[in-house]
Amino acid sequence: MSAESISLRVIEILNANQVAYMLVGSLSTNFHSIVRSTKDADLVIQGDLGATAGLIAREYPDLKLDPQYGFKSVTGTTRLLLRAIEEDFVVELFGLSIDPHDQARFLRRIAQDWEGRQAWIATAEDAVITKLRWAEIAARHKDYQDAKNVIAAQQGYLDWLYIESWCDQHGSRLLLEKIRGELKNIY
Amino acid sequence: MDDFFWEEIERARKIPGAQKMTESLRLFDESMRRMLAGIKRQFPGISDEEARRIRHERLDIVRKLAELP
Repeated sequence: MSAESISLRVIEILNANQVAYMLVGSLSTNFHSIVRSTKDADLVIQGDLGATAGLIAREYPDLKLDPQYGFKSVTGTTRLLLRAIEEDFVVELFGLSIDPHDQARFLRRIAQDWEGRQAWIATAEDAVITKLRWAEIAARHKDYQDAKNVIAAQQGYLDWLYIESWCDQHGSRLLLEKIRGELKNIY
Repeated sequence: MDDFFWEEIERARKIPGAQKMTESLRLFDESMRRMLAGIKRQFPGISDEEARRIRHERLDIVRKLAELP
C-alpha cells in the first residue's frame, strides 16, 4: 500500500456509499498551490462520523480505527483517526460542525477528477480562510505559509470579498493583509 | 519575495491540482522509504518491524513539532 492508494481507496468507499465529504488540510492546499509532502489525508464528513469511520475500517481493514474521539473546541469539531500502521499514514476524519464557516465551505466544495475518481475538495478561498484562522489561533507559521502559497498560486482567481468577510469574522484580517503586503508585486 | 518562491509558484500553476495531490502523497511515501533505509543503516541487522517502530516514534515527534507555533 501507499499513501496515494490509501487516500484513493477511502475516496472510493465514501463515493460508493454516498457519503458527503470534502478533502481539506494539506491535500487541499496542495491542490490549490505548491506540492509539499502530505503526511495525512484530512476529510470533513457530513453525517454520522463514527458510522462513516466504522464503514471505512470495515471495507478497508488495513486501516485501523482509533476509537478515541478528538475535539477542536474553537469550531466544535469532532475527529476520528484511521491509521495505516505499516505506512505510518493517517486518515483524519472531521465531523461537519455547526461552525458557520465549516458549513459555508462545505456548501462551496468543488468536485474534481482525481485519478479517475470524483473527489470533493475545499475551494481555494476556503483553504486560505481556514489556514489563516488556524495561523491566528495556534500561531503556526506553517499555516501562514500555506495560506500565502495558495494566494500566490491563485493570483487573479480568488473571491476577495468572501475571504475578507470571513477573515474579519475570525479576527485574521491582519494576517491576510500582511500576506498581501508580502506579495505586493501581485496584490 | 525571492525568485525561487516565484519560480516554484509558476511551476505549480502549470500542474493540474489533482496531479499535485498525487505527487504530495508520493513525496510522503518516498520520504518514508528513505527514513526506513536510514534507520536500517543506523542499526545494521535490525528487523523491518523494529525499523518501522523507530520510524513511527520519530514521525510522532515530527508531527508534534509541526503543531507547535
